[in-house]
Amino acid sequence: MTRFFLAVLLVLAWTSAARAEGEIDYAKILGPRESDALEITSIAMRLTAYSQEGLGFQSKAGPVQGPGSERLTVFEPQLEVRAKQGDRITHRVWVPVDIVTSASANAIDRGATPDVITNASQHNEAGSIDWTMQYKAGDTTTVTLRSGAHLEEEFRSWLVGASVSQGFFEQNTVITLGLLSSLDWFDNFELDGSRNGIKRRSTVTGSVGVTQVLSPSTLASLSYGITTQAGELGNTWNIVPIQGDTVDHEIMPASRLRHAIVARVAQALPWSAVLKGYYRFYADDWAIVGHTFEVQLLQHIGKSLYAGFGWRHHTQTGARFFTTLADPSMAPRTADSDLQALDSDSFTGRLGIDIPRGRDGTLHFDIAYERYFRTNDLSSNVFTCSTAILF
Amino acid sequence: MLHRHSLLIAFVLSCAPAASSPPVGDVSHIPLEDTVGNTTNLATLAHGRVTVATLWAPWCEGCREEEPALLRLHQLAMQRRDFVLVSIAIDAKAEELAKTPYPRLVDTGTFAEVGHRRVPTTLVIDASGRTVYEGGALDRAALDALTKALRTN
Repeated sequence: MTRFFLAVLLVLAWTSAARAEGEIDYAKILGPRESDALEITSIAMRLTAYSQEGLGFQSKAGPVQGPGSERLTVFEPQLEVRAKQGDRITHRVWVPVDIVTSASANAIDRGATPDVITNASQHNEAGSIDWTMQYKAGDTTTVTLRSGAHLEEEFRSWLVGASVSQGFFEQNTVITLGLLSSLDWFDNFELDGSRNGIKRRSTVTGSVGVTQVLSPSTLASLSYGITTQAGELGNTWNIVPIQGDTVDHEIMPASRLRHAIVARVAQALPWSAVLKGYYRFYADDWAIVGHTFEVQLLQHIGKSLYAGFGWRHHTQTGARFFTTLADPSMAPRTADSDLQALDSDSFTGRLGIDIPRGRDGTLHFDIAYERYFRTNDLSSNVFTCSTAILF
Repeated sequence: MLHRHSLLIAFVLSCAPAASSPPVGDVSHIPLEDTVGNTTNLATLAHGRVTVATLWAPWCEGCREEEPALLRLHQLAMQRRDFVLVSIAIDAKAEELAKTPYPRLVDTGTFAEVGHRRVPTTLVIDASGRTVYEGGALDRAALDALTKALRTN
Protein backbone atom coordinates (compact mmCIF):
# COMPACT_ATOMS: atom_id res chain seq x y z
CA MET A 1 0.00 0.00 0.00
CA THR A 2 2.81 2.35 0.93
CA ARG A 3 4.48 1.63 -2.38
CA PHE A 4 1.22 2.43 -4.15
CA PHE A 5 0.95 5.87 -2.47
CA LEU A 6 4.60 6.58 -3.25
CA ALA A 7 3.98 5.71 -6.90
CA VAL A 8 0.91 7.99 -7.00
CA LEU A 9 2.91 10.81 -5.41
CA LEU A 10 5.71 10.32 -7.94
CA VAL A 11 3.26 10.40 -10.85
CA LEU A 12 1.59 13.55 -9.47
CA ALA A 13 4.98 15.22 -8.93
CA TRP A 14 6.08 14.31 -12.45
CA THR A 15 2.91 15.57 -14.12
CA SER A 16 3.02 18.74 -12.00
CA ALA A 17 6.63 19.34 -13.03
CA ALA A 18 5.77 18.68 -16.66
CA ARG A 19 2.88 21.17 -16.45
CA ALA A 20 5.16 23.77 -14.87
CA GLU A 21 7.69 23.18 -17.64
CA GLY A 22 4.98 23.88 -20.22
CA GLU A 23 3.69 27.08 -18.59
CA ILE A 24 4.75 30.45 -19.97
CA ASP A 25 4.24 33.61 -17.97
CA TYR A 26 2.44 35.71 -20.57
CA ALA A 27 2.59 38.96 -18.60
CA LYS A 28 6.33 38.55 -18.10
CA ILE A 29 6.91 38.10 -21.84
CA LEU A 30 4.42 40.58 -23.25
CA GLY A 31 4.88 43.20 -20.55
CA PRO A 32 2.37 45.85 -19.51
CA ARG A 33 1.43 46.67 -23.14
CA GLU A 34 -0.44 43.38 -23.38
CA SER A 35 -2.33 43.79 -20.13
CA ASP A 36 -6.05 44.51 -20.18
CA ALA A 37 -5.48 48.15 -19.25
CA LEU A 38 -6.71 50.73 -21.74
CA GLU A 39 -3.85 52.11 -23.80
CA ILE A 40 -4.30 55.07 -26.15
CA THR A 41 -2.68 54.37 -29.51
CA SER A 42 -3.56 57.58 -31.37
CA ILE A 43 -5.18 60.97 -30.86
CA ALA A 44 -6.26 62.98 -33.89
CA MET A 45 -7.77 66.44 -34.11
CA ARG A 46 -9.31 67.72 -37.29
CA LEU A 47 -10.97 70.98 -38.30
CA THR A 48 -13.20 71.06 -41.37
CA ALA A 49 -14.54 74.32 -42.79
CA TYR A 50 -17.48 73.85 -45.15
CA SER A 51 -18.65 76.71 -47.35
CA GLN A 52 -21.70 76.14 -49.57
CA GLU A 53 -23.07 78.34 -52.36
CA GLY A 54 -26.16 77.73 -54.42
CA LEU A 55 -29.88 78.00 -54.86
CA GLY A 56 -32.66 75.87 -53.46
CA PHE A 57 -36.35 75.88 -52.73
CA GLN A 58 -35.83 75.60 -48.96
CA SER A 59 -34.44 79.13 -48.65
CA LYS A 60 -36.46 82.29 -48.26
CA ALA A 61 -33.67 84.38 -49.74
CA GLY A 62 -35.50 84.63 -53.05
CA PRO A 63 -38.97 84.87 -54.54
CA VAL A 64 -41.78 83.17 -52.62
CA GLN A 65 -41.86 80.25 -55.04
CA GLY A 66 -38.44 80.54 -56.58
CA PRO A 67 -35.18 79.17 -55.37
CA GLY A 68 -33.26 81.30 -52.89
CA SER A 69 -29.71 81.38 -51.69
CA GLU A 70 -28.59 78.36 -49.70
CA ARG A 71 -25.33 79.96 -48.65
CA LEU A 72 -24.02 78.12 -45.63
CA THR A 73 -20.85 78.02 -43.58
CA VAL A 74 -20.03 75.20 -41.18
CA PHE A 75 -17.02 74.68 -38.95
CA GLU A 76 -16.60 71.13 -37.74
CA PRO A 77 -13.89 70.41 -35.16
CA GLN A 78 -13.42 66.68 -34.64
CA LEU A 79 -11.58 64.56 -32.12
CA GLU A 80 -10.70 60.94 -32.73
CA VAL A 81 -9.14 58.69 -30.10
CA ARG A 82 -8.07 55.12 -30.71
CA ALA A 83 -7.19 52.81 -27.84
CA LYS A 84 -6.21 49.22 -27.30
CA GLN A 85 -7.48 47.04 -24.45
CA GLY A 86 -5.40 43.92 -24.17
CA ASP A 87 -4.46 42.16 -27.37
CA ARG A 88 -7.96 41.44 -28.59
CA ILE A 89 -9.96 44.63 -28.14
CA THR A 90 -9.56 48.01 -29.84
CA HIS A 91 -11.74 51.09 -29.37
CA ARG A 92 -12.34 54.13 -31.55
CA VAL A 93 -14.18 57.16 -30.26
CA TRP A 94 -15.02 59.97 -32.68
CA VAL A 95 -16.53 63.27 -31.57
CA PRO A 96 -17.46 65.78 -34.30
CA VAL A 97 -19.01 69.13 -33.39
CA ASP A 98 -20.85 71.15 -36.06
CA ILE A 99 -20.99 74.93 -35.74
CA VAL A 100 -23.26 76.47 -38.37
CA THR A 101 -22.34 80.13 -38.49
CA SER A 102 -24.48 81.30 -41.38
CA ALA A 103 -27.43 79.86 -43.23
CA SER A 104 -29.52 81.54 -45.92
CA ALA A 105 -27.53 84.60 -45.04
CA ASN A 106 -28.88 86.61 -47.92
CA ALA A 107 -32.32 86.55 -46.36
CA ILE A 108 -30.99 87.88 -43.11
CA ASP A 109 -28.87 90.47 -44.88
CA ARG A 110 -31.97 91.77 -46.65
CA GLY A 111 -33.85 92.08 -43.40
CA ALA A 112 -36.48 89.62 -44.49
CA THR A 113 -38.35 87.69 -41.82
CA PRO A 114 -36.33 84.53 -41.36
CA ASP A 115 -38.24 81.48 -42.50
CA VAL A 116 -38.32 78.23 -40.66
CA ILE A 117 -34.97 77.24 -42.15
CA THR A 118 -33.06 80.35 -41.22
CA ASN A 119 -34.72 80.36 -37.83
CA ALA A 120 -33.62 76.81 -37.24
CA SER A 121 -30.09 77.10 -38.47
CA GLN A 122 -29.13 80.78 -38.40
CA HIS A 123 -26.75 79.86 -35.64
CA ASN A 124 -26.59 76.27 -34.57
CA GLU A 125 -24.35 73.85 -32.74
CA ALA A 126 -24.57 70.09 -33.00
CA GLY A 127 -22.49 67.34 -31.50
CA SER A 128 -22.08 63.62 -31.99
CA ILE A 129 -20.23 60.80 -30.34
CA ASP A 130 -19.49 57.60 -32.19
CA TRP A 131 -17.91 54.60 -30.44
CA THR A 132 -16.67 51.49 -32.22
CA MET A 133 -15.27 48.46 -30.43
CA GLN A 134 -13.53 45.67 -32.32
CA TYR A 135 -13.03 42.29 -30.68
CA LYS A 136 -10.72 39.69 -32.16
CA ALA A 137 -12.72 36.58 -31.32
CA GLY A 138 -10.28 34.14 -32.89
CA ASP A 139 -7.50 33.80 -35.41
CA THR A 140 -9.84 34.58 -38.27
CA THR A 141 -12.91 36.13 -36.67
CA THR A 142 -13.50 39.75 -35.72
CA VAL A 143 -16.64 41.13 -34.09
CA THR A 144 -17.33 44.86 -34.26
CA LEU A 145 -19.86 46.74 -32.13
CA ARG A 146 -20.84 50.34 -32.81
CA SER A 147 -22.96 52.85 -30.98
CA GLY A 148 -23.44 56.57 -31.36
CA ALA A 149 -25.61 59.54 -30.54
CA HIS A 150 -26.24 62.90 -32.18
CA LEU A 151 -27.72 65.94 -30.52
CA GLU A 152 -28.69 69.34 -31.86
CA GLU A 153 -31.35 71.84 -31.04
CA GLU A 154 -34.21 70.20 -32.93
CA PHE A 155 -32.82 66.79 -33.78
CA ARG A 156 -31.65 63.76 -31.75
CA SER A 157 -30.42 60.45 -33.04
CA TRP A 158 -29.13 57.19 -31.61
CA LEU A 159 -27.59 54.32 -33.51
CA VAL A 160 -26.38 50.86 -32.66
CA GLY A 161 -24.88 48.18 -34.84
CA ALA A 162 -22.77 45.05 -35.05
CA SER A 163 -20.78 43.22 -37.67
CA VAL A 164 -18.85 39.97 -37.92
CA SER A 165 -15.86 39.39 -40.21
CA GLN A 166 -14.59 35.91 -40.98
CA GLY A 167 -11.34 35.31 -42.83
CA PHE A 168 -10.62 32.43 -45.17
CA PHE A 169 -7.62 31.21 -47.15
CA GLU A 170 -4.91 32.82 -44.98
CA GLN A 171 -7.05 35.91 -44.53
CA ASN A 172 -6.81 36.57 -48.27
CA THR A 173 -10.60 36.45 -48.32
CA VAL A 174 -12.69 38.16 -45.65
CA ILE A 175 -16.49 38.02 -45.53
CA THR A 176 -18.34 40.56 -43.39
CA LEU A 177 -21.97 40.60 -42.27
CA GLY A 178 -23.36 43.73 -40.63
CA LEU A 179 -26.51 45.17 -39.11
CA LEU A 180 -26.98 48.83 -38.18
CA SER A 181 -30.05 50.45 -36.71
CA SER A 182 -30.78 54.07 -35.91
CA LEU A 183 -33.63 55.93 -34.29
CA ASP A 184 -34.17 59.67 -34.90
CA TRP A 185 -36.60 61.94 -33.13
CA PHE A 186 -36.98 65.62 -33.92
CA ASP A 187 -39.22 68.63 -33.45
CA ASN A 188 -42.16 68.94 -35.82
CA PHE A 189 -42.18 72.42 -37.37
CA GLU A 190 -45.17 74.35 -38.67
CA LEU A 191 -44.78 76.68 -41.65
CA ASP A 192 -44.40 79.73 -39.42
CA GLY A 193 -41.47 78.13 -37.61
CA SER A 194 -43.36 77.17 -34.47
CA ARG A 195 -42.86 73.70 -33.05
CA ASN A 196 -45.66 71.18 -32.78
CA GLY A 197 -44.76 67.92 -31.09
CA ILE A 198 -42.18 65.31 -31.98
CA LYS A 199 -41.74 63.14 -35.07
CA ARG A 200 -39.78 59.89 -35.27
CA ARG A 201 -38.19 57.64 -37.83
CA SER A 202 -36.25 54.40 -37.73
CA THR A 203 -33.63 53.04 -40.09
CA VAL A 204 -32.25 49.50 -40.33
CA THR A 205 -29.41 48.51 -42.66
CA GLY A 206 -28.20 44.99 -43.36
CA SER A 207 -25.02 44.42 -45.33
CA VAL A 208 -22.81 41.66 -46.65
CA GLY A 209 -19.37 42.17 -48.15
CA VAL A 210 -16.34 40.28 -49.34
CA THR A 211 -12.76 41.59 -49.40
CA GLN A 212 -10.24 39.72 -51.50
CA VAL A 213 -6.46 40.02 -51.82
CA LEU A 214 -6.00 39.54 -55.56
CA SER A 215 -2.21 39.83 -55.62
CA PRO A 216 0.52 41.09 -53.26
CA SER A 217 -0.28 44.59 -54.47
CA THR A 218 -3.99 44.44 -55.25
CA LEU A 219 -6.95 44.45 -52.90
CA ALA A 220 -10.61 44.39 -53.97
CA SER A 221 -13.95 44.38 -52.19
CA LEU A 222 -17.59 44.04 -53.10
CA SER A 223 -20.53 44.72 -50.79
CA TYR A 224 -24.30 44.92 -50.85
CA GLY A 225 -26.48 46.80 -48.41
CA ILE A 226 -30.23 47.01 -47.98
CA THR A 227 -31.84 49.74 -45.90
CA THR A 228 -35.40 50.12 -44.78
CA GLN A 229 -36.75 53.32 -43.26
CA ALA A 230 -40.08 54.06 -41.65
CA GLY A 231 -41.69 57.02 -39.91
CA GLU A 232 -41.35 60.71 -40.78
CA LEU A 233 -38.84 60.68 -43.65
CA GLY A 234 -38.74 64.43 -44.17
CA ASN A 235 -37.34 66.95 -41.74
CA THR A 236 -40.75 68.69 -41.29
CA TRP A 237 -39.45 72.15 -42.16
CA ASN A 238 -38.90 71.63 -45.89
CA ILE A 239 -41.36 73.49 -48.11
CA VAL A 240 -42.75 72.94 -51.61
CA PRO A 241 -43.95 75.68 -54.02
CA ILE A 242 -47.73 75.25 -54.56
CA GLN A 243 -49.88 76.45 -57.45
CA GLY A 244 -51.51 79.72 -56.44
CA ASP A 245 -48.28 81.53 -55.55
CA THR A 246 -47.82 79.95 -52.15
CA VAL A 247 -45.83 77.25 -50.39
CA ASP A 248 -46.80 74.33 -48.19
CA HIS A 249 -45.27 71.43 -46.26
CA GLU A 250 -43.22 68.75 -47.95
CA ILE A 251 -45.06 65.40 -47.75
CA MET A 252 -42.94 62.27 -47.81
CA PRO A 253 -43.92 58.59 -48.16
CA ALA A 254 -44.10 56.68 -44.88
CA SER A 255 -41.37 54.21 -45.86
CA ARG A 256 -38.34 53.82 -48.06
CA LEU A 257 -36.44 50.74 -49.25
CA ARG A 258 -32.90 51.35 -50.49
CA HIS A 259 -30.34 49.08 -52.15
CA ALA A 260 -26.65 49.77 -52.72
CA ILE A 261 -23.85 47.76 -54.30
CA VAL A 262 -20.30 49.01 -53.80
CA ALA A 263 -17.12 47.79 -55.51
CA ARG A 264 -13.64 48.98 -54.51
CA VAL A 265 -10.15 48.17 -55.69
CA ALA A 266 -6.77 49.39 -54.42
CA GLN A 267 -3.62 48.88 -56.45
CA ALA A 268 -0.08 49.64 -55.28
CA LEU A 269 1.96 51.15 -58.09
CA PRO A 270 5.73 50.70 -58.58
CA TRP A 271 6.45 54.43 -58.23
CA SER A 272 5.48 54.71 -54.55
CA ALA A 273 1.82 55.31 -55.20
CA VAL A 274 -1.55 53.70 -54.51
CA LEU A 275 -4.46 53.96 -56.92
CA LYS A 276 -7.95 53.41 -55.58
CA GLY A 277 -11.14 52.94 -57.58
CA TYR A 278 -14.73 52.99 -56.31
CA TYR A 279 -18.12 52.40 -57.88
CA ARG A 280 -21.53 52.50 -56.20
CA PHE A 281 -24.88 51.55 -57.66
CA TYR A 282 -27.90 52.83 -55.77
CA ALA A 283 -31.64 52.27 -56.23
CA ASP A 284 -34.66 52.86 -54.03
CA ASP A 285 -38.43 52.59 -54.21
CA TRP A 286 -38.76 56.36 -54.65
CA ALA A 287 -37.47 55.79 -58.22
CA ILE A 288 -34.01 57.20 -57.53
CA VAL A 289 -31.27 55.31 -59.36
CA GLY A 290 -27.73 56.52 -58.89
CA HIS A 291 -24.23 55.71 -60.11
CA THR A 292 -21.09 57.01 -58.38
CA PHE A 293 -17.55 56.66 -59.68
CA GLU A 294 -14.44 57.70 -57.84
CA VAL A 295 -10.69 57.46 -58.38
CA GLN A 296 -8.00 58.43 -55.88
CA LEU A 297 -4.25 58.55 -56.23
CA LEU A 298 -2.01 58.61 -53.17
CA GLN A 299 1.58 59.49 -54.01
CA HIS A 300 4.46 59.31 -51.55
CA ILE A 301 7.13 61.97 -51.97
CA GLY A 302 10.20 60.99 -50.00
CA LYS A 303 9.92 59.09 -46.73
CA SER A 304 7.36 61.15 -44.89
CA LEU A 305 5.52 63.41 -47.35
CA TYR A 306 2.53 62.33 -49.42
CA ALA A 307 0.04 63.93 -51.76
CA GLY A 308 -3.43 62.71 -52.69
CA PHE A 309 -5.75 63.55 -55.58
CA GLY A 310 -9.31 62.42 -56.11
CA TRP A 311 -12.21 62.83 -58.52
CA ARG A 312 -15.74 61.72 -57.84
CA HIS A 313 -18.67 61.79 -60.25
CA HIS A 314 -22.26 61.09 -59.29
CA THR A 315 -25.37 60.91 -61.41
CA GLN A 316 -28.92 60.15 -60.28
CA THR A 317 -32.51 60.21 -61.41
CA GLY A 318 -35.00 62.18 -59.32
CA ALA A 319 -37.62 60.95 -56.89
CA ARG A 320 -40.92 60.34 -58.69
CA PHE A 321 -42.62 62.95 -56.51
CA PHE A 322 -40.04 65.72 -56.93
CA THR A 323 -41.63 68.95 -58.09
CA THR A 324 -40.88 72.64 -58.24
CA LEU A 325 -44.58 73.55 -58.46
CA ALA A 326 -47.09 71.15 -56.95
CA ASP A 327 -50.83 70.84 -57.20
CA PRO A 328 -52.26 71.51 -53.68
CA SER A 329 -53.54 67.93 -53.52
CA MET A 330 -50.25 66.32 -54.62
CA ALA A 331 -48.92 63.79 -52.13
CA PRO A 332 -46.24 62.78 -51.66
CA ARG A 333 -44.28 65.85 -52.80
CA THR A 334 -40.85 67.37 -52.31
CA ALA A 335 -38.73 70.19 -53.68
CA ASP A 336 -35.58 69.03 -51.89
CA SER A 337 -32.75 69.45 -54.39
CA ASP A 338 -31.01 66.33 -53.03
CA LEU A 339 -33.92 64.29 -54.42
CA GLN A 340 -33.82 65.92 -57.85
CA ALA A 341 -32.22 64.40 -60.97
CA LEU A 342 -28.66 65.69 -60.91
CA ASP A 343 -25.05 65.17 -61.87
CA SER A 344 -22.29 66.17 -59.47
CA ASP A 345 -18.51 66.22 -59.45
CA SER A 346 -15.98 66.78 -56.74
CA PHE A 347 -12.22 67.24 -56.94
CA THR A 348 -10.04 66.70 -53.91
CA GLY A 349 -6.40 67.52 -53.17
CA ARG A 350 -4.54 66.49 -50.03
CA LEU A 351 -1.03 67.00 -48.68
CA GLY A 352 0.24 65.16 -45.61
CA ILE A 353 3.41 64.63 -43.64
CA ASP A 354 4.43 62.09 -40.99
CA ILE A 355 7.21 63.11 -38.62
CA PRO A 356 8.69 60.19 -36.63
CA ARG A 357 9.48 61.06 -32.99
CA GLY A 358 11.20 57.85 -31.98
CA ARG A 359 9.68 56.25 -28.91
CA ASP A 360 7.18 59.13 -28.63
CA GLY A 361 5.41 57.96 -31.77
CA THR A 362 4.70 59.82 -34.98
CA LEU A 363 3.30 63.29 -35.57
CA HIS A 364 0.95 63.57 -38.52
CA PHE A 365 -0.28 66.72 -40.28
CA ASP A 366 -2.42 67.05 -43.36
CA ILE A 367 -4.45 69.62 -45.22
CA ALA A 368 -7.12 68.95 -47.82
CA TYR A 369 -9.34 70.91 -50.17
CA GLU A 370 -12.46 69.69 -51.95
CA ARG A 371 -14.45 71.50 -54.63
CA TYR A 372 -17.97 70.11 -55.11
CA PHE A 373 -20.50 71.25 -57.69
CA ARG A 374 -23.64 69.88 -59.25
CA THR A 375 -26.05 70.60 -62.04
CA ASN A 376 -28.92 71.92 -59.91
CA ASP A 377 -27.26 75.06 -58.57
CA LEU A 378 -25.24 73.93 -55.62
CA SER A 379 -21.53 74.08 -55.02
CA SER A 380 -19.25 73.97 -52.01
CA ASN A 381 -15.66 74.42 -50.90
CA VAL A 382 -14.45 72.17 -48.10
CA PHE A 383 -11.17 72.85 -46.30
CA THR A 384 -9.81 70.35 -43.80
CA CYS A 385 -6.69 70.45 -41.70
CA SER A 386 -5.80 67.76 -39.21
CA THR A 387 -3.09 66.75 -36.82
CA ALA A 388 -2.60 63.44 -35.09
CA ILE A 389 -0.26 61.76 -32.67
CA LEU A 390 0.24 58.08 -33.39
CA PHE A 391 1.80 56.30 -30.41
CA MET B 1 12.26 52.43 -54.34
CA LEU B 2 11.87 48.81 -53.28
CA HIS B 3 11.37 49.91 -49.66
CA ARG B 4 8.65 52.34 -50.63
CA HIS B 5 6.94 49.81 -52.83
CA SER B 6 6.84 47.31 -50.00
CA LEU B 7 5.55 50.00 -47.68
CA LEU B 8 2.75 50.77 -50.08
CA ILE B 9 1.86 47.12 -50.47
CA ALA B 10 1.71 46.85 -46.69
CA PHE B 11 -0.44 49.98 -46.65
CA VAL B 12 -2.88 48.51 -49.15
CA LEU B 13 -3.02 45.20 -47.37
CA SER B 14 -3.51 46.86 -44.03
CA CYS B 15 -7.00 47.76 -45.28
CA ALA B 16 -7.91 44.13 -44.65
CA PRO B 17 -8.94 43.06 -41.17
CA ALA B 18 -6.38 41.93 -38.60
CA ALA B 19 -3.84 39.48 -39.86
CA SER B 20 -3.93 36.18 -38.10
CA SER B 21 -4.91 33.11 -39.98
CA PRO B 22 -4.70 29.35 -40.23
CA PRO B 23 -1.15 28.55 -41.35
CA VAL B 24 -0.25 26.65 -44.48
CA GLY B 25 2.92 25.47 -46.08
CA ASP B 26 6.37 24.41 -44.99
CA VAL B 27 8.51 27.46 -44.36
CA SER B 28 11.22 25.75 -42.36
CA HIS B 29 13.30 24.88 -45.43
CA ILE B 30 13.06 28.21 -47.21
CA PRO B 31 16.62 29.47 -47.83
CA LEU B 32 17.57 32.49 -45.73
CA GLU B 33 20.77 34.49 -45.28
CA ASP B 34 22.46 35.10 -41.97
CA THR B 35 24.13 38.42 -41.13
CA VAL B 36 27.41 37.40 -42.78
CA GLY B 37 25.79 36.18 -45.98
CA ASN B 38 25.73 32.41 -45.36
CA THR B 39 22.68 30.51 -46.55
CA THR B 40 20.72 28.67 -43.87
CA ASN B 41 17.09 27.86 -42.98
CA LEU B 42 14.83 27.62 -39.95
CA ALA B 43 15.07 23.81 -39.76
CA THR B 44 18.86 24.01 -39.43
CA LEU B 45 18.61 26.53 -36.59
CA ALA B 46 15.83 24.67 -34.80
CA HIS B 47 17.63 21.33 -34.45
CA GLY B 48 14.29 19.58 -33.95
CA ARG B 49 12.92 22.16 -31.52
CA VAL B 50 9.85 24.36 -31.73
CA THR B 51 10.57 27.66 -33.53
CA VAL B 52 9.05 31.10 -33.08
CA ALA B 53 9.84 33.10 -36.22
CA THR B 54 9.07 36.79 -36.39
CA LEU B 55 8.95 38.62 -39.72
CA TRP B 56 9.85 42.31 -39.61
CA ALA B 57 11.10 45.17 -41.76
CA PRO B 58 13.36 48.13 -40.87
CA TRP B 59 10.62 50.67 -41.69
CA CYS B 60 7.95 48.90 -39.61
CA GLU B 61 6.90 50.83 -36.46
CA GLY B 62 4.96 47.88 -35.05
CA CYS B 63 8.04 45.69 -35.36
CA ARG B 64 10.09 48.10 -33.25
CA GLU B 65 7.35 48.11 -30.62
CA GLU B 66 7.47 44.34 -30.16
CA GLU B 67 11.27 44.15 -29.74
CA PRO B 68 11.22 44.29 -25.89
CA ALA B 69 8.78 41.35 -25.81
CA LEU B 70 10.96 39.41 -28.25
CA LEU B 71 14.00 39.97 -26.04
CA ARG B 72 12.10 38.59 -23.06
CA LEU B 73 10.91 35.61 -25.11
CA HIS B 74 14.49 34.94 -26.18
CA GLN B 75 15.62 34.98 -22.54
CA LEU B 76 12.96 32.37 -21.80
CA ALA B 77 14.10 30.30 -24.80
CA MET B 78 17.68 30.37 -23.48
CA GLN B 79 16.47 29.16 -20.07
CA ARG B 80 14.23 26.40 -21.39
CA ARG B 81 16.19 25.33 -24.49
CA ASP B 82 13.13 23.57 -25.96
CA PHE B 83 12.35 26.32 -28.48
CA VAL B 84 14.22 28.97 -30.42
CA LEU B 85 13.38 32.51 -31.49
CA VAL B 86 14.48 33.65 -34.94
CA SER B 87 13.76 36.96 -36.64
CA ILE B 88 13.54 37.23 -40.41
CA ALA B 89 13.97 40.62 -42.06
CA ILE B 90 11.86 41.30 -45.13
CA ASP B 91 13.04 43.98 -47.51
CA ALA B 92 16.45 44.53 -45.88
CA LYS B 93 20.13 43.86 -46.45
CA ALA B 94 22.22 41.73 -44.08
CA GLU B 95 24.82 44.44 -43.47
CA GLU B 96 22.09 46.88 -42.38
CA LEU B 97 20.86 44.73 -39.52
CA ALA B 98 21.61 45.69 -35.93
CA LYS B 99 22.86 42.85 -33.72
CA THR B 100 20.39 41.15 -31.39
CA PRO B 101 20.83 38.32 -28.86
CA TYR B 102 18.64 36.08 -31.02
CA PRO B 103 19.45 35.05 -34.60
CA ARG B 104 18.54 37.53 -37.31
CA LEU B 105 18.14 36.24 -40.84
CA VAL B 106 17.32 37.94 -44.12
CA ASP B 107 14.64 36.80 -46.53
CA THR B 108 15.92 36.40 -50.07
CA GLY B 109 12.43 36.98 -51.44
CA THR B 110 10.94 33.53 -51.08
CA PHE B 111 8.99 34.21 -47.89
CA ALA B 112 7.08 36.99 -49.62
CA GLU B 113 6.47 34.76 -52.63
CA VAL B 114 4.82 32.07 -50.51
CA GLY B 115 2.37 34.55 -49.06
CA HIS B 116 4.12 36.00 -45.99
CA ARG B 117 3.85 39.66 -46.84
CA ARG B 118 2.61 41.37 -43.69
CA VAL B 119 4.89 42.70 -40.97
CA PRO B 120 5.06 42.15 -38.14
CA THR B 121 4.13 38.49 -38.50
CA THR B 122 4.69 35.78 -35.91
CA LEU B 123 4.97 32.14 -36.96
CA VAL B 124 5.05 29.18 -34.59
CA ILE B 125 6.60 26.10 -36.21
CA ASP B 126 6.41 22.78 -34.38
CA ALA B 127 9.28 20.34 -33.97
CA SER B 128 8.33 18.53 -37.18
CA GLY B 129 8.63 21.74 -39.21
CA ARG B 130 4.89 22.29 -39.56
CA THR B 131 3.63 25.86 -39.19
CA VAL B 132 0.96 25.70 -36.48
CA TYR B 133 0.28 29.41 -36.05
CA GLU B 134 0.50 32.61 -38.04
CA GLY B 135 -0.51 36.00 -36.64
CA GLY B 136 0.51 39.62 -36.31
CA ALA B 137 2.77 41.01 -33.59
CA LEU B 138 3.67 38.69 -30.71
CA ASP B 139 0.57 38.37 -28.52
CA ARG B 140 -1.35 35.99 -26.29
CA ALA B 141 -2.59 33.95 -29.25
CA ALA B 142 0.99 33.36 -30.39
CA LEU B 143 2.02 32.32 -26.87
CA ASP B 144 -1.01 30.01 -26.73
CA ALA B 145 0.23 28.33 -29.91
CA LEU B 146 3.79 28.12 -28.57
CA THR B 147 2.56 26.56 -25.31
CA LYS B 148 0.51 24.02 -27.25
CA ALA B 149 3.42 23.16 -29.55
CA LEU B 150 5.74 22.67 -26.57
CA ARG B 151 3.23 20.41 -24.84
CA THR B 152 2.83 18.19 -27.89
CA ASN B 153 6.55 18.15 -28.56
